[in-house]
Amino acid sequence: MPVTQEHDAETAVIEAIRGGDRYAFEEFVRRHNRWVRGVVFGVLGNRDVGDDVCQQVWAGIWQRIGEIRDPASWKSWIYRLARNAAIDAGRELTRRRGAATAADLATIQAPGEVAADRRAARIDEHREVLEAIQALPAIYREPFVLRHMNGWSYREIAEVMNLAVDSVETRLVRARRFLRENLKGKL
Amino acid sequence: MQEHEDNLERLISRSLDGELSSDEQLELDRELIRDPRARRLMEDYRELDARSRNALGAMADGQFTLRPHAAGPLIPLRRGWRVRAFWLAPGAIAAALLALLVPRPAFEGTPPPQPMSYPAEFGPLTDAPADGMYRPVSSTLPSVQRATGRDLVGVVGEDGNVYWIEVERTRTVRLPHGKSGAPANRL
Repeated sequence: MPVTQEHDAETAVIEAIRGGDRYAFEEFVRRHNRWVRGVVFGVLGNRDVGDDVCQQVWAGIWQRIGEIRDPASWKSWIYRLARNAAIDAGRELTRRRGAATAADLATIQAPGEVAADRRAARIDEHREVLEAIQALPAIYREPFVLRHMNGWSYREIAEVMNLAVDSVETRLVRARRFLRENLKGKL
Repeated sequence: MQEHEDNLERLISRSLDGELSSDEQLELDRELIRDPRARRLMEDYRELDARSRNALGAMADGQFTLRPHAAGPLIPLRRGWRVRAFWLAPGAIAAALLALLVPRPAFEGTPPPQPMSYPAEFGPLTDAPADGMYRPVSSTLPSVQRATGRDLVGVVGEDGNVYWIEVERTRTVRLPHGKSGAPANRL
């Protein structure tokens, strides 16, 4: 079964948004912003500008949603928008200031109420891992983030990335290998 | 040897992603029982996955709110048609100017007065005509007249509000052209 058929419940929402329903759009953003952020981070490997890129992506979706020919294919369509926006932002970022940094990782909020020192330790852990993920080659980072941030199956990832399922599997194996090497002694 | 390592990594990766078939699961279990290195690799990858999910999840759960888009929103329409919001600006400005020029009711924010009968006595409009009825102003005179199909005049009521009054006898008191102040039969 194609991945898009699993999300048919959203096609009615897409139709409402196409009709200009702003409330439907805001609800749609709430539901799907997480994985859109995942796509942006997976491509860009940078959280500094992630929110800005997500803003652009959602503004673009609102503006261009009338262009979707088949509402059932909304997921692939949004994925392409997010990916292209992230690629553009990455080019701009590289041009402006060179290599990306993870300078603002300290702003990550640990879930729940935890003691400050414990939170700081957790943030350090997150920073290490995110820096390692950022250092992955983009072709491995993207499916890795989609899998680990969004929990997508190989088939879902293959469909939106327009890859064979075997290619997704190979990239995930290599991403894990890279990360294990880069985090050696920290696992 | 390398082929065996690659296959083991692939099996572990598929296992962690929930993509193993039952045959592959048996094969992996055999490797894990037989080879301590396989168990260590499995543990490393399991921890790597957990930490990656946590770090990416913490990043994804950061605050994100919709902000106004600087380029101005587009109104999505079907069939790929789009209308830029600024095309609507002249209309909005004209409507705002019209609203300023047209006398507005003073009851904004307070409950509108209930329609009431007025004493049936012919006289100046400011005292209200016979057979008239006070009604709160909701639109301009021409549009109200078109909507009701009646002759109307706007007057200021005792409470300071402006009312449209249905005047059934307006035409009966109209003077002949070129005359003023007195009925034609007195000339």
